Amino acid sequence: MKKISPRFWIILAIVIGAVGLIVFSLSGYLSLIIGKAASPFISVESWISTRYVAFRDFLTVPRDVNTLRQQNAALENEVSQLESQVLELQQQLSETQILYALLDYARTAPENKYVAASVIGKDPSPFMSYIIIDHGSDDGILYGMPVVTQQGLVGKVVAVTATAARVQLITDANSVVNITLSDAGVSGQVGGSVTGDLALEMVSASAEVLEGDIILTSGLGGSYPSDIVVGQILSHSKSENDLYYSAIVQPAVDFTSLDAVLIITNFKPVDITPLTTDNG
Amino acid sequence: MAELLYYPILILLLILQMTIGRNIQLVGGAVDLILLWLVCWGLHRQGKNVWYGALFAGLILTFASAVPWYVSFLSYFFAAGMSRYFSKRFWHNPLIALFIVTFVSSLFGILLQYAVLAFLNGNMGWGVSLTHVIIPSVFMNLILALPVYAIVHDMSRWMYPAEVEA
Repeated sequence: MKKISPRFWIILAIVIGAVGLIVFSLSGYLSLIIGKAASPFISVESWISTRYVAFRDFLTVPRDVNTLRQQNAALENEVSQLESQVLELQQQLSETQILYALLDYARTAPENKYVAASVIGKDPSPFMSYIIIDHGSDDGILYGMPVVTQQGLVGKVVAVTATAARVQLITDANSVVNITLSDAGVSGQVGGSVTGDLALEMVSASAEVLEGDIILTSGLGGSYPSDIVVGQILSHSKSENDLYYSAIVQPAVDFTSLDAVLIITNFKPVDITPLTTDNG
Repeated sequence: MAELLYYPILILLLILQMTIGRNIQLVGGAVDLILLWLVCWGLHRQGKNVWYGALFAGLILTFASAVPWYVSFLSYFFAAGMSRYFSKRFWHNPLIALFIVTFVSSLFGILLQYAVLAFLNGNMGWGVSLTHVIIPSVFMNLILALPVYAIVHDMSRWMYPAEVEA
């Protein structure tokens, strides 16, 4: 009989031991022992893993922060550009609305020729109700031309340079506009004042004047074309012995927010000064 | 030479006054930035050339305003003269000088405007002009005198740095 090698017994013992371990492990009898034996290794692995992740983050996250910062700056820049574009578009919209309103007005009186201009300033003196517009003689603006908006009469050009002009408002203390009351059909004058209010003058006390009457330019005197709205009567008073009405006039134009105006370029004002001065 | 910088500033102030200053009103009054600048310039130790500033301011106002030309010249020369006079006598207390000169020169300028316009136009009620324009304008000048003085003072220190003695 052939002698069995001791190596065989060793291998057999190892196999039986291994199979036994597998059987015990699968049946759950070894889990407690394995858990106890693996615990230090797991702790070490966990410790190394935590340190590794921290080290990796240390190396990689700052780069991400820088990238995010750059992206944030780029986005903020884009937002500010868009905000400025929105503001610009809003301003353009506002200007377009004003120009459309002026265009509508111009269409209602096609016999007139208009030049649109922006208001760029006011007279430095608080006593003077004048505005400066951005069109001058290069654009065909001449002394004395009437200035209007879609709301009504603004004033007239009193000084011109090549690229700008000065307009005397009808609210100026030195301004007088010959008018007619549309309902009463009587003529008179509207004068400005230091406070910027308009006052009705030279309307006969015998006329029938009512609050809310619309005041139009009469065309008398040759300074303004006829039938441009000046305003309406806000309140009036007349005592028994007065020869003329005194009335407060609400201007048709809002002079506090005057941004754009129309200059009537085909109206030629008549200078009647030589006829009114005493030459004799 | 450094004072040449004052002249573009006067033009800038005129533009500011015509665009912003006249829209920020107290009742009917408005600030006169050019007058304030001249007063502060004249009160400064180096303000001997404020006369040229007054001349220049009068010229640009003549171009920009409908007020008769001599009104601007007279009121600005008055402000320049008064500021130079006070700078020599109140050099140790410039703020008192500032308020006195601002008050008197503002009042002089606005009253002169009123007198001339009332004479030429005849449609300027005194009571309304006083309460609506004259008093508010002087008041606004007094309010803004100190900020303008601070700006001119800082600017002059930058333009004329103090000499260091060896």
